[in-house]
Amino acid sequence: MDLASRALRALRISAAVVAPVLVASPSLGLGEVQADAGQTAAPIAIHLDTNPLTAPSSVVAVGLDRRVLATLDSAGPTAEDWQRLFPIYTGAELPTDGRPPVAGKWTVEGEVLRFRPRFPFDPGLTYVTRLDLSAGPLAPVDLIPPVIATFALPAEITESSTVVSQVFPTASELPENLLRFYLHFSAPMSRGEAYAHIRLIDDQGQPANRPFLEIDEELWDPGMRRLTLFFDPGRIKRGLRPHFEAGPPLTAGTTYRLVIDAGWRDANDQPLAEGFEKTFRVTAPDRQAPNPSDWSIVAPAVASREPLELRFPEPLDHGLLQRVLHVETADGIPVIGEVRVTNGERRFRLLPQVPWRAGSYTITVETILEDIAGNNLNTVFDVDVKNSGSQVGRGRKVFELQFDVDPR
Amino acid sequence: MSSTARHALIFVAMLAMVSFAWAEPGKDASPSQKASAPALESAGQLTFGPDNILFAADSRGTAVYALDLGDSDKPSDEEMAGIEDVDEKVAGLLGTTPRQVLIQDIAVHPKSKNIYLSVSRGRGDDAKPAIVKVDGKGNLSLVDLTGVSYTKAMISNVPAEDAKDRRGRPLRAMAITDIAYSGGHLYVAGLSNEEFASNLRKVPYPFTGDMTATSVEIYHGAHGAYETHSPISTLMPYEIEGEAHLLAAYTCTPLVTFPLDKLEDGKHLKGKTIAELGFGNRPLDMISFDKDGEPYILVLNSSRGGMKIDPKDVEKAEAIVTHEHITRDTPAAGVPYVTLPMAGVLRADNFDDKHLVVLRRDLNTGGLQLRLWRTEWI
Repeated sequence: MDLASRALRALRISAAVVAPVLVASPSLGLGEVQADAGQTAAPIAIHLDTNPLTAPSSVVAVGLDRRVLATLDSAGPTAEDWQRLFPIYTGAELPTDGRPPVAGKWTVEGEVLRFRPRFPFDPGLTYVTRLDLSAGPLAPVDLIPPVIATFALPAEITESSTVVSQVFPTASELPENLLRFYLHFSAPMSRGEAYAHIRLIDDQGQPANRPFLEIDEELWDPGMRRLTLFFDPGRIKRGLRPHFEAGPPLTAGTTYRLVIDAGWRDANDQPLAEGFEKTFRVTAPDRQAPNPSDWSIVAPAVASREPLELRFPEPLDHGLLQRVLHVETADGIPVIGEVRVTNGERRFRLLPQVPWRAGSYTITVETILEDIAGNNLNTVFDVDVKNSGSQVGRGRKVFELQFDVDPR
Repeated sequence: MSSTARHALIFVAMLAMVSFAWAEPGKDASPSQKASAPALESAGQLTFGPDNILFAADSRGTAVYALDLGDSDKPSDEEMAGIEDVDEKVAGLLGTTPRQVLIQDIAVHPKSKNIYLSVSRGRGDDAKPAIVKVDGKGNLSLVDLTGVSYTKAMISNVPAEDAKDRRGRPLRAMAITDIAYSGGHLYVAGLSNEEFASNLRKVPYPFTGDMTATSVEIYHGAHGAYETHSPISTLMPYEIEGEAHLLAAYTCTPLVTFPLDKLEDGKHLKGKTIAELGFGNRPLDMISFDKDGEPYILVLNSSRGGMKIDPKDVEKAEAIVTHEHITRDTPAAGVPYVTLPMAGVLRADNFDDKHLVVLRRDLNTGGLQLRLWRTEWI
């Protein structure tokens, strides 16, 4: 919801207290402020200011004596003074648990005392404040009872609508040493509880015991719509203790379900609209590094905007395929276009922005490209050093492939 | 069950030079320059460096910041007793609910002894970073980064041709798992959300505008038969007989040490495995501390409590001997260690010569606590 529409919503203010007129002790040097006890004055009110021009929302106290405020301002209250004078807390009641006031800045603007929070107020969350001018550097100010008020921005009404939109690899047969899944979501998700909502269940209905690498950082993309889920590498790698203790997370010949429950919350703190399952059968481990000489190239026709197509004998990593293949003309000019990965991540297509011209082209492939078992173009995931034949082009940064767009 | 391992693991390091993108020279490259507020996109791992500079990792911005907080040179007269439900109090300070607060790391200012927390306010794509100070009285305050002197080093380039989400942001990201300062360099360990690679960066400090930094690819072996690489989840510098070392724990669980002066461009490095933490566990944090004048290493684990290691044993340790048939009942091998009852301890840092400060999840109440622990108990 944008700020303007937020501002148009009705505010919920639960307190506006009528207070006697400000009375200050002459000994404080307040000069022009005269004792005026017994009379009533304008009510002191505390409310949210959601004017989008002064966004984000702030809290203002109005109905205070301009001269008192000016004197207060000139006294140069510290942050600690303001926190005693006009603290804002989370919750509907003043805290008793030592909770600190909300961080922000206070300003005097004529007859208005304003608090701007460092972070915008949360919609739907109730805040409480206690305005007490006697608590600041002007103390003691007599006969001004503290004003306690609560306020809240309207809650943003959101419904569960986020779903798992895709899981890669898409194939229904996956190798025993599968390294990762990519979970794509239709909207931004929340961080911090991913692993509690993902289970791997075998064909006996038994959930696997900690099959995934659980790290505090959670490997999200910056937009929080794709989670990278690594299997525990210590269990996949041969020769490491977790591999001996617990075995690989997947066993060839077994069918598994990757189950994502709907309790996982999105960035709006709403659960998923529905859970998700991917069923797959596990095949023998893949311990071969992908070799670009095994790929076939389907060259496009000249003057067309047909895709350049690369066909792989095995699925390659969906994430890396998006960024590690680069196509250039013989003059070194990059071919810009849209990348599509299809056919169970066995096909890479580049659809150019402009039609192909006749000539020779070079496809540069960064060797960090991996298959779905984490074998990259330089080396397999765990190299059997007695069998160095499994290594391809070790130490290289790139492979280069050539193709021609023939003239008519 | 104890958890050191019996595999012989041979570690070989392969180093490669990579170019780094740096802060624009002259803009925010001078350590003394008061520039606009450092634009952290996230606040993660923290560690203090020379001249009480706070290094803060920004995974989202793929950068590390060096912040001059201008804190006091003297500790408070008060001795902080600790803070119960620290996440609730941080939430109050940040004007939100505890659910929307993720405390990422803690670090103690070497002089003032104020405790700094890196925090994410929010969990979604619009989460905001915050650095919170806990003073000697246990008061929490938000560090106002406006006007803070800082320098910044980018730790990776995100090429323009990367796949983008609907808002035009790249899908690629790097999670910085730990940072450590030693001998004029900041070591940055990270984990890509795409390729599975060793990702240790060596960044010279002070950060300047035209440097080349080293990306260290560390391979390791298992009982002489297999060789692989892996990201580092946590690391720590320490000295043995005046020689600087790095102790690193991999995501696939070996703990390995290597001398820092051997981390040079293009040279293979043989590291030493001192322990393997085993299945179902991951190291959370590592620090060194002194007890009765003797140094120790403390490794905090997700499910195996704390491990206290004598650095002299690390120095003496031989490479772990292989064993082909390890089970969960196989006795531990490698460097000896004492298992400490530290379940729920998530982060630790040195407070003074008698105390550590720990961030701890109380397993009975579920509350998050900041506590001072006397090293004599550890």
